[in-house]
Amino acid sequence: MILHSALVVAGAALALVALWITFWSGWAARKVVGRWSFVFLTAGIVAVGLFCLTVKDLLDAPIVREASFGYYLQTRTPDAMRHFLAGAAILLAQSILFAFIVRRAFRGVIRARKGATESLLHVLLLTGVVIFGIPFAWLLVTSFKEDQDMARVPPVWIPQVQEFIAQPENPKCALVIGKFAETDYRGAVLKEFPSGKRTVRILEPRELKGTVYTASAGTTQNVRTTGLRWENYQRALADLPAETSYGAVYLFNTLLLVVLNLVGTLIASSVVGYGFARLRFPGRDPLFLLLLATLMLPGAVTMMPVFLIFRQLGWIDTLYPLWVPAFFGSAFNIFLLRQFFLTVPSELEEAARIDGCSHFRTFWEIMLPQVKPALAAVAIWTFTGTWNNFMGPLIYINSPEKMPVSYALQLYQSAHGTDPGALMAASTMVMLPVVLLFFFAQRYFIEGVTLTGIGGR
Amino acid sequence: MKWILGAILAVFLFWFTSRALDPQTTHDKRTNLKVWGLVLGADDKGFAAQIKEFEHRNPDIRVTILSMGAGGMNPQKLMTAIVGKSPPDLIYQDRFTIGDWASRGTFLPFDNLIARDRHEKMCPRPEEYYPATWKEAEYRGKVYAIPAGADCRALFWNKKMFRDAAPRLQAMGLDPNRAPRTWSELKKYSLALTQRAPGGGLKTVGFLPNFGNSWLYLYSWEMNGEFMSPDSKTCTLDNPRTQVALQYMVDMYDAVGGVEQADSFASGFQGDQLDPFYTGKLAMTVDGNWKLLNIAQYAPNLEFGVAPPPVPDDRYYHRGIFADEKQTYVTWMGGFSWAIPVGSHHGDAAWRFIKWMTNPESALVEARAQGDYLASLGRIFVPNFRANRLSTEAVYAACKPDLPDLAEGMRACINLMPTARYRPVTFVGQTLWDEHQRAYEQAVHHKMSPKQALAAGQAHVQGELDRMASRQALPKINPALILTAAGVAISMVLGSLVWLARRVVRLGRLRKGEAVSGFLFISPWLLGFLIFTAGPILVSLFLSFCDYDVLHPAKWVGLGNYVELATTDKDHFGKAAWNVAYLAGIGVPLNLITGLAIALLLNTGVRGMRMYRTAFYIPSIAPTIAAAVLWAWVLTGDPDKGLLNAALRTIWPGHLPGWLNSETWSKPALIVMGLWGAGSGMILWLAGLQGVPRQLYEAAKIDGAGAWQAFRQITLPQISPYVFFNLVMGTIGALQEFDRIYVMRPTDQQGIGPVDSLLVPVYYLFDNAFKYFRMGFASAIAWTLFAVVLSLTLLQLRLAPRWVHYEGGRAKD
Repeated sequence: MILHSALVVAGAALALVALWITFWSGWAARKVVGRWSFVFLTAGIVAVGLFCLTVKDLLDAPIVREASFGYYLQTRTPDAMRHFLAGAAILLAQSILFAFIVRRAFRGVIRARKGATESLLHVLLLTGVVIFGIPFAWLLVTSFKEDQDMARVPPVWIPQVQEFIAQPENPKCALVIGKFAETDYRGAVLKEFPSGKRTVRILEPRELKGTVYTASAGTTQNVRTTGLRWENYQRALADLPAETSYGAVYLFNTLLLVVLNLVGTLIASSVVGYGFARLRFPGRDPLFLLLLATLMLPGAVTMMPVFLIFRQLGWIDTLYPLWVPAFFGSAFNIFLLRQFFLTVPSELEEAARIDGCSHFRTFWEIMLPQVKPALAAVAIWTFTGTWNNFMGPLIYINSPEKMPVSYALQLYQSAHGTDPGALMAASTMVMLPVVLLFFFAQRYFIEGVTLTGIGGR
Repeated sequence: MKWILGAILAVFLFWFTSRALDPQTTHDKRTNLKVWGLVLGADDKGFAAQIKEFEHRNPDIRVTILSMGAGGMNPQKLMTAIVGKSPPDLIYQDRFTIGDWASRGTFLPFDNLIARDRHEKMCPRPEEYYPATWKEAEYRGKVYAIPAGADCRALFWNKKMFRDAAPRLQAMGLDPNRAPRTWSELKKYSLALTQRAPGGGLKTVGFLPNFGNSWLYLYSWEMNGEFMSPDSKTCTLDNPRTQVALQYMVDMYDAVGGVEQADSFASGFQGDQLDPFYTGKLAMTVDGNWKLLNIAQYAPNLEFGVAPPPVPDDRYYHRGIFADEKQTYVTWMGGFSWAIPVGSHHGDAAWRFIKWMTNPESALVEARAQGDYLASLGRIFVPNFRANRLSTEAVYAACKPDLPDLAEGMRACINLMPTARYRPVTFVGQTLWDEHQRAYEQAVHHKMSPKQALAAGQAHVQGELDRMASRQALPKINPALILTAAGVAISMVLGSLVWLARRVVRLGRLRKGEAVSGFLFISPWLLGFLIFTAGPILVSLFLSFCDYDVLHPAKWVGLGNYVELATTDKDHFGKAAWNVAYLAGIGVPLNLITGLAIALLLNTGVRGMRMYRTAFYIPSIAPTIAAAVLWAWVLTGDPDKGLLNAALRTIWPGHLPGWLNSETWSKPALIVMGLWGAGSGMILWLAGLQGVPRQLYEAAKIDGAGAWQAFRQITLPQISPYVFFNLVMGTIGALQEFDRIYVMRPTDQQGIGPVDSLLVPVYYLFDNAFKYFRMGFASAIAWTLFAVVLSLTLLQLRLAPRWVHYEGGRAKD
């Protein structure tokens, strides 16, 4: 119920904001728009009218007590949905049209032009964001849906869950509506039969209350309400092998790998990057060219011999192959950090040298703090790279207690591909930490990349 | 940054401690018997009870179950584990692959164990088994696996759909009250029961020859076709009878409008309850006896019948080439079996486990537990069949279902068991299976005639056979050669080190100190380069001239691997090369343009830029696997399920692309998905765009240049180093496409995507390296790929000066 109220409030607020933008922009541009203003005004009025109709449709809907907004939208008032969508479409079309007209007709009016360009930009960008965001939204929504909503036309975007009610026999009876002796009723399902028949106890209206009868298949309809189906997540976790502590071990392994890879990559890549950037030694430039050349080398070429090396070491089915190489640095990160060290003014270093600092102390205490943004970028790349590493575990890991999350998800997919709810829940759980981390750390990251100028300036 | 690291560390410590305190891993003294290949879902109470009973009877053993891949065993995983000396103790393995595995020396034979324990009540005895199951587990006279389950194929037909279509059936002179018995009858029934939707799609379908579980094998055996010569030295995949069988499958698909439409129709029905046979969309299907249990669960009210799979007309009427044929009907039997891999740490415990799992007493434990569990859910139980005849009989007597349709179905299936054929036991079993499936795909998609397709498959399998046969004769590698090669490599490294050291010695004191530090600073990379890059490159080059399967010593084949790539494997490799060229040729530029377009929009100084930037970037950091799982759903061909097609349906009423299920659309589907990750390029573009000096634009504006001219004349040249970088890295990355395809290829298909339309070089290499363990051949693929990448990169570098503009004329880096 809370969710449903929140949805209503949010929807109303969104509609108000949209209306406000339309009228405000129309008003602000009245001088430049001139004869077009009546078009906008009419469209705005039509849109408002449609939104009013939506509300009216909703209020007119025959109300079965306690059933919800989403339920009405789906079963009783397709008109409301249609009106709402039509209103929204008009608003969108209007803002696009508006942006184009203003832009084309009044190039000279700088203020208006800027506003129009800006709103066009926002329209374009928002469209892009929606397109880029839809798969995510779909993943999230699907992970909360009941199985019956998985294959629906049009796709279900507001997850609904079955409502339950406690009865003496069973604390969780499904709530249904149906017809008994020509009367609409609400009732609780006491028993389901494989044939689709159901034993139902009628709860409302009062004159039928307490009647228990067996409804034939398809004559009752489940009462469902807008809500999230957390069972998908519970099921996803419960399907994981018990000896992995329901997935905790996967997470532990991934985190262990992340920490070790971070430590290794950050230390090794910055040390080597500094060496290439700031120290002069014979053969430096050819060696650096060699390093650049390894960027072009397909991983596939070294894949098998490296496998044989780790086999010789007895490291198959251990985590070593997945983190030890990080301590030797990676070509791409070394290149990145070298470019960054090159941009640090040499005065700092010379001052330290005159004070008698060793090369290592100069690097550690003076230079390293100067390249923090680049380190942050490398750190996040390493984090996501390790979190996503799939081919490594695919080749090296055989025991469940050593698997990282990414590989476990693939195994999960192949074993439980027919349970989309749980699969999407599992995918969400794998994806979420990475997305959240990026969200909170993006400032460092993007600055790091932007300032570094990988393009080779 | 600090607090993020702190948080990670805290979580990490938390798990570490919680794990250290976990009693299960630390205080259990029992032998841990690791079993692979079994999938235990929440509903598999029978197996669980069987294992629990075993643990109860053997208190010193704990059984750990791990599935390891799609519904059973992932061969690549098992091979890697055996080769890596960390195999499971026991494996539940599809029987038809046993010969293949045994030939590589990866499984232990059971003959001595059986001879030793014959007197024991529990011991498996060959005479108690259906002969086909036992023969399938033998290789060169030795038993390498103990058969566990058995199954057979039958025709399931929907009685209600037949009744509803009675007028049409009768108009064609067909009896609506019985199933078809011959191929021509089957075709007539199928046509009569297929109906088209107004939009041009399929509404109901009579019969799809490869939906369910029949494959080309069944149709070929019905023609008395064979796949291997009796001496197992020649592959006879292309024999004329099999050609007739394949032609029949092609005709059946064409009759309902082509395989692509049929697959799109069928692919939407993921999930058992949506099976088109249960929902009245498919009237007939050839499937295994396990279908009975699924029907009991998902469609207990289905009115259906079970009949032998229809056979060629001549066979049914005993005429022509079948004049002397005694068996009218044929089915085929498959099933799993227990095997012990070489290197198993607890062979004795594994043998005890097998003895328990395969005897009738244990079968009853399983069936009863599963039956009780299903009954508690109000569901009906139909037991599966065992390879052990006594077990099947005991289970049937104790647990047969009450519903007449189901019980009759079970009876009909058991009656078919004696007519069962089984897949030929050969060390090329896996290849034969893959190739027969590939030939089927080529033929039904009309890429080749059945004859050509089968001949191509035959050539491939035969090549494998001949290679194995001639392997013995190959020259062993001369140890002196290896030593010389290694010596040359080492002395080259030492030589360059000495040379560098001498140059260092000649420096002044201060410069010398700096040089030594310099070498120390880059030593991690240098070491890593020698161990993980330079060494492996040489080894891989060397291996590409060898035949090496890791388990046996390498043999020198000279240019053999490369010749094979260019001749017998031309089709596969050519296909892979074309696919990756398509993906890279269209995908990379599209990705660059999308990323640049977004970056240009963001670089206008629009308000909320940070927010937009995040929104566009996030998809590119989504874990590949999670993203692939998601996109496999978004891209499902059926508009009722796939999000993309559902969206397209609203604007386009006609035929919609089948995306991942369609040969034509599977690559565009991947490209579309790739565009989703254009954000990673966008960040670099932004960095480049922000580096373009403002004055240039202002000057251009004064000169009266429009937006497009400014972009063309200023932006593009200024960011050309970024274009170059993105182009080079994008190409290199695209040529190595693997993860997404591994996860997204439809799992119900044997090929990699429909008609191998998603086969890419790295996938091909991976399969050869870690599935067939042909390290030499895989290395040859790797080197070919390397040569292509290198020449492309060099070409790009060569062309770069013409269009890449470096500020102040400085070169890259």
